[in-house]
Amino acid sequence: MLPTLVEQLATDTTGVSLPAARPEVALCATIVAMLLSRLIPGVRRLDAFWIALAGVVTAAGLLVAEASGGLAAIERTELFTGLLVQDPLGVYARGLLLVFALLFVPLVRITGLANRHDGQDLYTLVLGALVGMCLMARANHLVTVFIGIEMASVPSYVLAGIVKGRRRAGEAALKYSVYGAAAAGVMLYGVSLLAGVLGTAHLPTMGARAAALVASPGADAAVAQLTVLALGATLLLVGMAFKLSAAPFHFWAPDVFAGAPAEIGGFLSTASKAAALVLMVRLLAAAAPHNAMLAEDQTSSLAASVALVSTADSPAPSKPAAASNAAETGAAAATGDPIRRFLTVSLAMVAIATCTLGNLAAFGQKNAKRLLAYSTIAHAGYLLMPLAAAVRLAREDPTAADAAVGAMLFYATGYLFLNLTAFAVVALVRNHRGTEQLDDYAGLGRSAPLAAGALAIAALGLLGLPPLVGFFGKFAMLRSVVEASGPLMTALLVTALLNTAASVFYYLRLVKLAVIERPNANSAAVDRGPMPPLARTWLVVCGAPIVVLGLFPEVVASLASAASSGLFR
Amino acid sequence: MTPETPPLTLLPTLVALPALAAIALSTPLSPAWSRRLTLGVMLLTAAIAWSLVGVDLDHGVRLWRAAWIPSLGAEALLGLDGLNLPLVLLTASLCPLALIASGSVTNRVRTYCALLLLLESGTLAVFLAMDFVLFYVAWELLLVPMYLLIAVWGGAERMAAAVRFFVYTLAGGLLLLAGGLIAYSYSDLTTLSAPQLAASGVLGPVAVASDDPTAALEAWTESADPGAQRFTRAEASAEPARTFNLLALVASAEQTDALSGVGPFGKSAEWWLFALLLGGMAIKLPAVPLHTWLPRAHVEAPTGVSMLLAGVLLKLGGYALVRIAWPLCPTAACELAWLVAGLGGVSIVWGALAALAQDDMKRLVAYSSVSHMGYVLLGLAAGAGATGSGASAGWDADTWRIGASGAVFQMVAHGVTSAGLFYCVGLLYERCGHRDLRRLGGLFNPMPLASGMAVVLLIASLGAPGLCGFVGELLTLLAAWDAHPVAVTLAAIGTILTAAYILRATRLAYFGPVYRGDDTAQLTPLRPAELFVLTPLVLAAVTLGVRPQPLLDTIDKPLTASAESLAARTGEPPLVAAVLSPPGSSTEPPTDAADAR
Repeated sequence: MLPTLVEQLATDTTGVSLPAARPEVALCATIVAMLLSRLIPGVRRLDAFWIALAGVVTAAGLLVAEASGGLAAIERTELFTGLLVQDPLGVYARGLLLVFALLFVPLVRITGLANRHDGQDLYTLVLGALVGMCLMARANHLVTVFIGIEMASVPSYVLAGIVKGRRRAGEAALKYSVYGAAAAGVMLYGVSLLAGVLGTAHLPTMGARAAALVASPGADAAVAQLTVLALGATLLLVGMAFKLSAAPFHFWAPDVFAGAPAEIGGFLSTASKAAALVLMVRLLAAAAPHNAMLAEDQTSSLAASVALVSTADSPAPSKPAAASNAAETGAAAATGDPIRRFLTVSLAMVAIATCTLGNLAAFGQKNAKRLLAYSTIAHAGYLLMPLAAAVRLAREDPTAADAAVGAMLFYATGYLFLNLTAFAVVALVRNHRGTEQLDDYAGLGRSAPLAAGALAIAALGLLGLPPLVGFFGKFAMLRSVVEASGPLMTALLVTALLNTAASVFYYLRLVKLAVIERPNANSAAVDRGPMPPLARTWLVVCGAPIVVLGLFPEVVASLASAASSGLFR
Repeated sequence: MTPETPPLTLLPTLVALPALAAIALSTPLSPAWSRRLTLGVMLLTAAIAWSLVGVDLDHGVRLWRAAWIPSLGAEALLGLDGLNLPLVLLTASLCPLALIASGSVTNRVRTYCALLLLLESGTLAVFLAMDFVLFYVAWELLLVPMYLLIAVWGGAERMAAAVRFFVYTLAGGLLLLAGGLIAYSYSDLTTLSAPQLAASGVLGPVAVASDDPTAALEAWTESADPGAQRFTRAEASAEPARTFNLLALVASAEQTDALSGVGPFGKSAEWWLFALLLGGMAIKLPAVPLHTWLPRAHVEAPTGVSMLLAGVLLKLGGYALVRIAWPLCPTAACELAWLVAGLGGVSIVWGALAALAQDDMKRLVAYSSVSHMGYVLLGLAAGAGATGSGASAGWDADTWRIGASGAVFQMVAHGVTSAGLFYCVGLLYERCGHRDLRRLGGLFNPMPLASGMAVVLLIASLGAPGLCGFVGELLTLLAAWDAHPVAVTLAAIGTILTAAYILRATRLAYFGPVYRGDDTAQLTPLRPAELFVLTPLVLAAVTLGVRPQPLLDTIDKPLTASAESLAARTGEPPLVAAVLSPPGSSTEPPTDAADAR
């Protein structure tokens, strides 16, 4: 028995699982290569940047090869005995993370954060976090959920304090790690509650068991178990909210973003957030009781009731059977509700609070990084809205629920380029002018027109003006919200629009400062020569998608909808 | 025999040409060549636009369609009918004039030209878009160019004015977006019949006037069109097939009463939809009390930009009301007609009173815009049955048609006169260095031609018979009298005030014995380029006044269709208003409302 098991395990690992994890393997190999390169005399002088870049390019190439047949052709398969899952969503999300890495690795080199001497520390941490995020994006088991989050988080704590000798950076790192550890503890407690009640940590099985628990007619034990489930889910959601910087667990973000270098802010607000959102989708898709599970459940209970009816009332079995069918469907609809309602309401409330708090707090900010930190919080709110819509739609209209997740992916993709550009400009201006105060940004349009233009476009995109990519993400998200219909969704729509209107003020201030205003005569900031050409090239490369994907949104929209199809079926 | 309605490829050309030229301007061209290139493209666009006059619009809307974002249900659908044709012509003709009028712009000329081209492209796209997403994208596309045009090339207070413009317009746009999304969430293509699907362009441009819509529907459902696939899937699973197609949205609202169900706070979804659209458009139009962005923006903007802002951009709000708000929610529009008419009446009086108090001539013209746009609202509210009694009795088709054609006519006429007047003010400002009415005067002697033309435009703006301002005002007042006597009375008071401020401006600026400013040497006669801008505007003002019929005939067909649908859906059988003459003979000035003038 044991030998067969081992043999099966071996064939599964080497034949199925590892081939589907080639990009992650490449990233791990790169980390090892970077660490060992210091030991080999000839290679010691090689800049870690090149190793990191080669590793990321290889990983991206392997991922492209993995998806060569198109996203839709990828079938859902479980890897590593169900710990991970291979599906279009996983491929899309990892693609997004690798695109981020392709932009981020050169960025830190250009801005000088990763210099010749300690570049390998930074790259090791970033790539290590990326491997963790790839795990998050494909997690199919509570163990991988937790491991993935921790693998992504621990390097982030160090990254926040990567600049040695700066008190603010140290403070940021300390705050981040203390809050992060607390959130991890809370989440672990939630994980243990969930796994304990449901008797498994395998996400799809958990979903099926939870649905069965809900469908079981009102036993007291079931109610008690549901209560514990709700507690566990809440604790897990707290952990996720922390990762996403969603209210009321957003308070770490401004301090950490203000203390950490701007590049790391870009990392935390885009890649980290995208991975957390995809993980959130995984959890929701398992938890929202969807058609297949309920149908299964209904047929079994229907069979039982038909049997009951036909023994009691044999002459006309067809009519009561139809009636009981209707009644059963109604009952299932009613009993399927608690999980869905709990998730919809909590997600929507968190989204509303996050969005509003982030936007209102952004008004008075004087520091560029703090302003962007609050903008990041606000966007976490927008990004959660389609997820609330997806959970609400999960049963009645699974296609629309998939589309809602697609909208979130689209938004997250556009947001990646927008926010990374914005943070990169902050980093470049720090090098160029030695300031991170917004008032010193005045007149940037004259000394560094490209950086000013990039910042303006990023700000307008974050505001959601067409024809920039930010608009179409927001539009897709709002479309899903109105499709889900209902008072709660109307509240989401109203919140999103009011917040967009409110955010005009601070995004427009960025545009005004960067593009139009003349240099401030009292400002102590002095330009240190022109922007380096590499920096300008990087800004063009990262800024171009904001416009190009805005003019041709279908490119991303179709990929995102292919990536999200079939999640709720 | 099926009438020929091939896709109208001129429409995308019209929209894309200025945008492409704007992109071409990113190459380092000298200011002079930038101007030449821009002018050439704008004139070419105008020529293409005027060539559309010959297009056969008798068989419904003429469309052009291309795939755009099928995953989000949006397509690039452009359409031309009698309603947007005049506005397209107005836009395409005003843009080259506005460029010539920007002769005094000397810094960053290339960027200025590129922004003007983007503005033209966006405006044409708004007028031509038949898909809500495209409409909204084009709408917001206008925001940034206009903001920059005011903020970079404007006067002393330009920053505050530009920000105010941006914030107000964006807020209006967001209301529009909310309205569009709500309409989308209630739409359902599967409820439409084959002829309706064909007429609203869902089946493609060629099928619009098809004799056999059922066959066209079958051919469409079997095609690889993503919309068709979604439609078949929705039909199979009994889910709604939602749409952003503006015509199909309206048809769908006609077909189902989903919108009339009770929504939040006891009002129907239709009521909310209408309130959102009205709110958004009232900002853009602008109607009092949401007009405060307009005078500032105008005062700070350079002349050419002011011409476009007043001549074209203010028409977007009214156009959206006629195109979207009224057809989509007739019941709510009828219920709220008192509010619309009231806003219109108050705008007319308020704008006129404010204009009367101005010494800055540009500010005066700006406030006169607020006043004149009030007629658009008043005209659209005409024909609402039994206001005040709570339960409205529905629209009267004929009256509404007359009022609405008056409103559209007023938009075109105001586009001509206000653009001309802003240009005249610009001419004065260039020569005198100020626009203070108290320090002008006696301009007729040094500049007879310019002053003569300005006075023609002022009188046209006043609404004197025989010039373009008269027709729109008369039609709206006549049509609105039955339903909204109070608002029309206000408007009648407004016309008196209009006469007062126009005559005051004329007297202070152009008449009088001598120029009261410092330097009379600068008061040079018109240069040829300036004459080239003013002449077409003055000619248009006169032509539209003397022969309004071609324009009224053009807009009549789509408005008749809308009017019938409005009347049918609000439950009142269409009555023939005996008092009112059909629009054909309405340039004769009889009846009581005209007396109030």
